[in-house]
Amino acid sequence: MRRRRLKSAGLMERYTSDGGLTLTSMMDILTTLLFFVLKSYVSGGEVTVPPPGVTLPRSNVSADMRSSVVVAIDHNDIMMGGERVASVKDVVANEELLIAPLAARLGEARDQMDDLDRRRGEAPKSARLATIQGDADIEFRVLQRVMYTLDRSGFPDIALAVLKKA
Amino acid sequence: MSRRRRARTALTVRTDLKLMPLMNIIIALIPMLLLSAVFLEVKVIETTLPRDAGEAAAAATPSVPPLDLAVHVRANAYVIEGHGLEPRVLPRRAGTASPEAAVAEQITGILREYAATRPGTTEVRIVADARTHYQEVIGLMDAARAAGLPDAALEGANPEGV
Repeated sequence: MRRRRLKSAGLMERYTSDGGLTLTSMMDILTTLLFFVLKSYVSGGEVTVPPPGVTLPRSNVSADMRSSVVVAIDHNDIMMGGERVASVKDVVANEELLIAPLAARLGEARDQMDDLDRRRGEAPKSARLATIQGDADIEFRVLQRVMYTLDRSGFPDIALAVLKKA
Repeated sequence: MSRRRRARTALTVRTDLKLMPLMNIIIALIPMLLLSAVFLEVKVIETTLPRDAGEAAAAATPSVPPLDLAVHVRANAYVIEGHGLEPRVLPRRAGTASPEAAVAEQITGILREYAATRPGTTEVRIVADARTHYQEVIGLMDAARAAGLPDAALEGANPEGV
């Protein structure tokens, strides 16, 4: 009886498998994919996503985006830092080229940047860069007013964000 | 015999790595990264508002006035002009979202020809109408860049223009 039990135990031991999958090849694929996705984040320099509702115009330019203040313009609003600053309707209705609420926000942003520069021991820059993410269908008069406001608020270097043509 | 086998079994060490926790992390990470990844290439065109004409004149050599190349967007035409050059007119479809490919090529050709009269010229003004679409302005900047004029400044055509 004891001998039979020992014999069956030996057989069990010989045929038992842990049922585990061979995961090494899958791990290789996933690790490669992970590195690819991570690389796509950092290879393009500054990463930006146009706000919802903004379809950027297409261009064949190849200059990369740099870190800067971003002003977005869609059909209805002018936004800065994801917050609505002014409405396009009001801006167009006003004959004044300067958009006062945007100028106020830009002034605050500029003060913060100057403060950061001073803390780093650098002299505040006289001219700063701002990026406009405008919808392809907006009218030039809106763009013109935003550019004028940027220029008057200490952001004379303006970058127009576009999507690269395929 | 059986005692010897049992002793060998007890000493067996499993050397397989426990990959499941790592797999779980990676499987959670990949969809998250893919969802938030941006596969659209966002580029920028650097521009400025046109500087004061007085400043430009002061910067230029007095004997050689600046070429002052400009592309004007009118209701039904693009007008390309420069200092001392004959204005050239190209047709424009009213309300168009961007210049037609053939017209854009013609604009590039004319700008290249005009810029060749004054080597070293890199500036051009795009004088757009108030209702010109942004995409059309970008299309004209592309045409100017193709002609070797990367420094395009935007200007309003209306009297209240910048």
